[in-house]
Amino acid sequence: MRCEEVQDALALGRDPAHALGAAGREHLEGCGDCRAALAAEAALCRVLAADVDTEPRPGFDTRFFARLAERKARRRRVRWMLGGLALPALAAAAVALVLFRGEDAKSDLELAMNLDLVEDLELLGRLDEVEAFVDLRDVDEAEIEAVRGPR
Amino acid sequence: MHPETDPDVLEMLAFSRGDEEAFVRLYRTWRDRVVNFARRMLGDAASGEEAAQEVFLRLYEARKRYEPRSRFSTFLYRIATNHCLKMRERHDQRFTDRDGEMDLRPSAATGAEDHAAQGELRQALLRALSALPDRQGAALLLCHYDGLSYEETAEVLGVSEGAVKSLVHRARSALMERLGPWMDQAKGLSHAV
Repeated sequence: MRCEEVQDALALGRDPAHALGAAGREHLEGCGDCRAALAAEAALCRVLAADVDTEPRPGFDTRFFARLAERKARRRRVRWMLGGLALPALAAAAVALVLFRGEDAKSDLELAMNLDLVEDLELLGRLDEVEAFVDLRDVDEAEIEAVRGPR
Repeated sequence: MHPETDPDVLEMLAFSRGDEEAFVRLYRTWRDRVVNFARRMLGDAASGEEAAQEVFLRLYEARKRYEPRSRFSTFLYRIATNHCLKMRERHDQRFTDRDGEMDLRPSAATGAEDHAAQGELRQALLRALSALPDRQGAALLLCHYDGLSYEETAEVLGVSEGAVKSLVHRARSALMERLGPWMDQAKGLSHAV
């Protein structure tokens, strides 16, 4: 067994005696360099172990669920205001849609990378309502009167 | 594990169908792991908690478009990694000591077994971890602290398994160099034992 094999196993945080079996153990017994490398890796593991997992500080859950409630309320407000959205904002969201869809929107891992765009997509899901609002706003009042006919 | 047999995938699917309690259960299951991952990526508890909250808000947002192709852990760690890397980029001035010039030496009067020294070591370690290049740091944390396999880590980072091994190797070498004095103490400790 060569030193490179042993030290590759070590560099990945593996104990060569376990990772490489009897051949690894035999090599370590006869190789001072690899024993030194093993000692260094063991020391690094002890150093890394100094940072143990901790719970978040008190109030974390309260803060999170308050943020979540606030986020939901904001989304509701955005939906109400949607009818007043300017066309440039819609155009930007449409560009986002094209980019996002272009990267296979069905993959959960792609979704994980593109969550910034999800909110824009939610807005686009309500485009019919926006278009209806815009159509109504642009209708000529005289035209309405003409359709309605004489009173 | 196939996505359909992953209990957390099933919880996420239940959530995507409108079961809000399923989201709360996922939050409780994964909260500490996400908080610790983000804390190590960003170097301090406050930033880590802020990032972790945003990760769960993004998970909430993802419900309507969730279609599992991988394990839930892979999906969640990908959100977390992506968000932490964005935060690191955004607050890059805070990490100006990434060039390795930071002082991570232990104070002379402390011993490795001393409680204060442990706190000092922990701080030095956090700074060294958060100072690692983005993908090196993420790969090391995912493999060492979060127990992901090289295959899962590769999926989270969107790189090959070989690239993950290389990232972990380089991260460990960089840490050994940066934490040299602490390493000496740790070696001394093993000799004493």
